[in-house]
Amino acid sequence: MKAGTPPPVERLAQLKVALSTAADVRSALGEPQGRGAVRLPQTGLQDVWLYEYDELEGLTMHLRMLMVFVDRESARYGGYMWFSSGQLLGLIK
Amino acid sequence: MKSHLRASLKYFALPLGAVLALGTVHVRAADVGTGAFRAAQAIEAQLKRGVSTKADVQKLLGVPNGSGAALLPSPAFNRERVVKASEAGLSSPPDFAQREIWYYEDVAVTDMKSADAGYVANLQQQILLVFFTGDLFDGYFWTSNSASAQASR
Repeated sequence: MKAGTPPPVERLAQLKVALSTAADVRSALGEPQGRGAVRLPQTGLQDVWLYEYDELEGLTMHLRMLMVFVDRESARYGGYMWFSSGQLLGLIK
Repeated sequence: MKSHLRASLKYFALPLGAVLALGTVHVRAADVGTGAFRAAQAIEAQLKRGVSTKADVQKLLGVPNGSGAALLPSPAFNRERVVKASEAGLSSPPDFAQREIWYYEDVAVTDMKSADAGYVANLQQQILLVFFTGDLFDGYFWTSNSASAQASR
């Protein structure tokens, strides 16, 4: 079973912090599957664009998640965070 | 703590795979999970930012389940500095370094029972992101619903 599409983290290199626009982000990464917002310490409000892919292959669970930050005030690319995993589900008791 | 599964889907980074797994698990009528990572509570006491190494982290928390990277927003990220760096022939200011992430996750689905609305189960999840600058520990982000959250749909 699969859900979503693998986040194109290799295309993050096309984006430049504080210079790339929201349109540039969309052009490089595609339309996000989810949205959110975050205000980290000492930073302005950031929109969060969420890209996620989940796959269950037998009892192995794969997760790939990419969050892209777009500064609300300037509408410029502010950074990213991504992580992925592949974990085996098993009996626990 | 009781919550509907629909609501828990909004929980940070809850993998849909875990939810999809519920169906598989339901058929098997068994308790399954990824296996717990230990010692998250010991991070503050045993790891020091800028001093502890990846080896120290692995010794405390075990081998990570996954990895990633982050360039988190900072007040230092401003257009003037980026333009100045570009004029100096740099792709970005030197302090715009990305951090490496080690990803730990513990998902456990237990006590699955049939219910009128579908099923009811205990879904417990811990997520831990550990940040590194180079080989050195640079912070972490940990969440847990280990207060026996109940999921249903």
